[in-house]
Amino acid sequence: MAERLIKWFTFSVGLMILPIILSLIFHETFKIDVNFNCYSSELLFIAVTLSATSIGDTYSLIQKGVKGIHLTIILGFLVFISLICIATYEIIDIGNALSISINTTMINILTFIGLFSSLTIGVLCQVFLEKIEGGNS
Amino acid sequence: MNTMIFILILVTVISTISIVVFILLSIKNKSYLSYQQKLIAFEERKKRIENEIEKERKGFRNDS
Repeated sequence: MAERLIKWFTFSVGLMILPIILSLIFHETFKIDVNFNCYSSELLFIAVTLSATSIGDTYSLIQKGVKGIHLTIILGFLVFISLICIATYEIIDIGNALSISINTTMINILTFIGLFSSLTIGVLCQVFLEKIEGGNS
Repeated sequence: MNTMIFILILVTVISTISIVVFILLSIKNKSYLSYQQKLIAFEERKKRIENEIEKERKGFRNDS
């Protein structure tokens, strides 16, 4: 269980968060103010990638004929959260292009919630899949 | 636009909480056991087919 979670966390979260850590180090080195808005696109990208990884894992299990309501609901929610994150990215992009006034705090909250949901469901999905595959090995 | 963002936040939070509760309950009720059986059945079927193919291959080599 722990091995799978560590592997998933290292390759999915660890490597994805590396550019942000690097950017924060540079900001700290050159004493530049850190603004959450600068990282919202990157965080949304991380959220979509985390969901996509779990979608891939769940789909490969479904392909083996392991089907059921639980896996369908998990898969559906992962797709849903990916779409929410993509929609958030588009709201920021289109809002800027059309000069529509958008509450930045609300967008930041939505970005954070999208990332948090993706991370939480990603971890729970990996735990559930490990429970299924763990008994087989 | 801000109303839409607020609705998205609300929908995401509610659905995340419900799916977290659903998965935790599924793990607690050991719902994964039925999936485990399906996976074991798939692996056994795969192994049996592989053995049959290997047997046929050996038979073909012996014939030629």
